[in-house]
Amino acid sequence: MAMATGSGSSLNSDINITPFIDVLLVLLVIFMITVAIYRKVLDIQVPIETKGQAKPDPNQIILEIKPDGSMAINTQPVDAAGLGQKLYDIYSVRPDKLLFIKADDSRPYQEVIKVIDVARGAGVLVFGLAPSTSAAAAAKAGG
Amino acid sequence: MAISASSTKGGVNANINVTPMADVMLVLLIIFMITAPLIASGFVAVLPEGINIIKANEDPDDVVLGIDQGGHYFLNTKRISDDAVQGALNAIYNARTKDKILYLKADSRLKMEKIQEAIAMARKAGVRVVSAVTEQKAGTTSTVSSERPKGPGGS
Repeated sequence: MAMATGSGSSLNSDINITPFIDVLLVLLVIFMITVAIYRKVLDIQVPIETKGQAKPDPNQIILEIKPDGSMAINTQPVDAAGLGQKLYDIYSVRPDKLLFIKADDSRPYQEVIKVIDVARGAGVLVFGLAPSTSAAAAAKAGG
Repeated sequence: MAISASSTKGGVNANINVTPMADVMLVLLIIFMITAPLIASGFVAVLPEGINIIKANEDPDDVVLGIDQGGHYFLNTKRISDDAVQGALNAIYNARTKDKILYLKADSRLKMEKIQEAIAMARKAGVRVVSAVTEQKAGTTSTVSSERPKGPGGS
């Protein structure tokens, strides 16, 4: 009699949520992957190859990164902390949101990306990268 | 007595429930299947970080030029020798009629000299836009539009 009672288990009123959580976790992984199919980029415009040097536009803004890491906008020195504000002041009143970056060959890539990033935050839309001035890089690329 | 017996019901189940573990293992299997080709190519690079990043839709036709931390070139995840890059880019962009975009996936610690070299080659091949692939800096969101603006280079 006691055995018979033991085999008749009482009804379990709890819903088993384990398979449900498993399915949700798989969905989470799938969504994490699909979100990642966006490629995160910063665009740099490349000028069409022209023979000879094009005449520089006197109105253009050139940001220079010097070999020692200091920066200058149109030869006026600017520090990294004030760069965003300075660029914002310049570009909020300019119709063309174009910035040229002239980086020294010895500077790391991350630094240029950081400048582009800050400038995008300050309202610049189009970026140009001044070609390397060093003859060695030009000769290598040409060969 | 019968009630107390029924409350201690059910013998100890000696079987381990392996179903959740199998589920987790299957998911891990899928993740490794996806990441294995990326690891196998030998491309090791720490991408630069930024905050105000553009979100570009990934397209299988996109041309991706990788430069790893040692300065080795990878064209569409396949290793390519330095001398062959120019020829390969020329061949791709001569035949390509749509967007002349090159996605540049370069290690953040590389010197600009290497990047300039890659951009110079891309320019010779007729590329109009070099898209520097970056990572979103952890815990930040873009303060400006993530839409790709219509630049003068876009046709």
